[in-house]
Amino acid sequence: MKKYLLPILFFVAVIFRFWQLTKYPVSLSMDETAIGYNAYSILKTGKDEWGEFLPLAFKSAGDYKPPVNVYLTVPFIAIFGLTEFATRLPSALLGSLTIVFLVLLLIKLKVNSKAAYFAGLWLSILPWHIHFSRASFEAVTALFFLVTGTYLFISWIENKKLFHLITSIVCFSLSVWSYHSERLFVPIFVIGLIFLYRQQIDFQKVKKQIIIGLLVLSVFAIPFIKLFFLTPAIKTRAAVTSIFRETTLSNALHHGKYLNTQDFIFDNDIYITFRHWLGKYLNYYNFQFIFLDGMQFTKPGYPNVGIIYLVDLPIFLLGIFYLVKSKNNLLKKITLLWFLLGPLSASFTMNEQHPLRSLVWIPAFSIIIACGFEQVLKLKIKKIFLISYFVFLSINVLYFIDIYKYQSPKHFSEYWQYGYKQIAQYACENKDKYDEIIISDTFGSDGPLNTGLPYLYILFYCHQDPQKFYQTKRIEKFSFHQITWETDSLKPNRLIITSPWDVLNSKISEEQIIKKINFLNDKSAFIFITTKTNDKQK
Amino acid sequence: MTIKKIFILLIIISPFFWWQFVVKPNLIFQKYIQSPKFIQTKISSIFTNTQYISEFRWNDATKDNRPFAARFFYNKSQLLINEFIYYLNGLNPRYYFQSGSGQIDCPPNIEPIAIFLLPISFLGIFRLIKKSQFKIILIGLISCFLGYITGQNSFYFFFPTALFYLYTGAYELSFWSKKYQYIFLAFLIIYSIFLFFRVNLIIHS
Repeated sequence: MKKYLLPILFFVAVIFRFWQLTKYPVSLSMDETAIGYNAYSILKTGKDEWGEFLPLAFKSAGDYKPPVNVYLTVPFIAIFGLTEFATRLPSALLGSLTIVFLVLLLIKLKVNSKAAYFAGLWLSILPWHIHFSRASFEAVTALFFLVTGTYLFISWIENKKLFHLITSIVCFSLSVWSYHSERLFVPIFVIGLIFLYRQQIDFQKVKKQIIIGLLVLSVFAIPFIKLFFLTPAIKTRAAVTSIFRETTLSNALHHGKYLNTQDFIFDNDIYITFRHWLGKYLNYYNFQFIFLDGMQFTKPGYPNVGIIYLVDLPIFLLGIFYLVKSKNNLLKKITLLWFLLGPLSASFTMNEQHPLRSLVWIPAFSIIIACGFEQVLKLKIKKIFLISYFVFLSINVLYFIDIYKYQSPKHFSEYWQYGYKQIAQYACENKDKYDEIIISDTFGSDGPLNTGLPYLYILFYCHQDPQKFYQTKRIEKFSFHQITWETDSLKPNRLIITSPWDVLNSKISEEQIIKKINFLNDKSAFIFITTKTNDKQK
Repeated sequence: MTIKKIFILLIIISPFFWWQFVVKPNLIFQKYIQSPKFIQTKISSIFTNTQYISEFRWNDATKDNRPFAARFFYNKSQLLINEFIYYLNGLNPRYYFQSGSGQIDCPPNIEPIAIFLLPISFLGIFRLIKKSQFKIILIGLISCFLGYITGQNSFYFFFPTALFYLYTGAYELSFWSKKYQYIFLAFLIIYSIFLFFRVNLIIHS
């Protein structure tokens, strides 16, 4: 039976991650569209949308995406074509595989195997991991490589096989290359691991292996360092999301201009920054975030889902109890290391309690939950406990599905750029009817200042020739800009697709409006307007 | 040093304690006199905020034709669960070691308890678990009840939890050798002096 458990867990994970994969989340996000189209572009031309040959950071919309997800998507685009399914498939697959390696890692860490399988089941149905696995998030890929790398590292500690060392280094490096959070987390974590296992590594004996390992590491590290110092790729992203962009912090800082010595000593910028960062870091250790509303599937105040299920609270507390009492010091220390480092990267960025940036924290919870299960298995009332647990877990899972499938789309369809797909499909089908299709980049129901990137959706859904696009930076028959009704309406035979904000005070006859798209909360998203055909065409 | 001595020292040097002598000391009594009213308001408010539940029910029942799911998932028991988590949030370390309440009951722009005591307090909690001293852990869990039941984000009502964290810190420190105890406590006293002057600077600027 035991040999079937891992495949069964993998199967459960696959069900939760692949079921109606293209339908939930409700639409491809801008990032997903960019990943899909860049992968398509690499497949067809070997270059990205900007015409750069096999780039190590994808400039895309100026955000310099990590490359791993794009390259992983290429074979799936080759097999399934440029589709939503092919774009989302790599993350869903790696997310499912993470469960397998997590169980193997827990067993390596000498957690009771039954408890390890329980923890595998826990992760396979965890909202935190399911959601991000379903939407081509780079953090899921990074987590997969991190868990696998840790498993291989501990395997190497046990058997000193060069293969395990090299694959472990490759996995850790790919993790760093996959997502921004891991760029800080992985180096500190690996140094921590080496420190914890220092007594089991006879550095003299494995000298050769370490030299080979360092050579492999340099293959990944040198391009990264080059990218860091010689291009804006890494610095841009860090600057855009940096904690220093928060106005509460930047307003409090003196920026080196202190009024007097007293100010310099007692109101120093270093102290202010430290205090501000600490608040953000401690914010992650918050019951409400962890058990009640961390996933932010609905707007604040509405019923929501935590990053882990509420029913896991007793198991979580039992896990801490077990770990504190445990004699497995290594397990204790690794858990503590992971638990403290988990939200570190996220706390240096500008948003509060970011479940995606703290995804790297999951294994710490997994270990604690596994230990909790181990403790449960020792209880006299374990049968009653487990039956009650699974009954309440089922309710929690159904509740999550309800929130995820029915409530969240109504709240956040806009967040997923809902409507752009419909625009793109309509525009591609009807482009021959018009001289030009003008699409406004104003987007959303919150106000006229928010913008989107509709060109990405036209590229994706219309399968635009990548070579043509990166050579001209134009899409034939399309233009993208904010609508100025007074001038745009004068152009004959145009289809104008616009957010209602752009034409708020314009006089448009009902005949001109040929289609409307609403967000899933029924707020108006787009209006399709035709301009008059000119006389020649008549 | 014994736990008792360390505990008293930690109380004395904690900003939340000496701050009471800087602000009007009768404020705390005024708050406590009002507490029955606060409790009444808190209890009556638990089941009043049901508009979000009604909205979800309406969505489920009318738009998605799932009236059973609507009633099963979105009801008043959910509000009680939320309250339980809000209760546990009363133990949130950020409140005690970083932010405070942001009101007159806490010193401005500094922490109510010196931040460097945070890891020590948690090591103390772990040691208490290890030594099966569950009574103290239980006291810790109960300590935030007053803060919760009054529904006030006020340190005047949450100070029992602050005392719990100070106690666990003292408990941990009592296991340290005298040399390290003195070094750490000396550091903590210097840091507390820093905090005192910082508050002074903020008040006068």
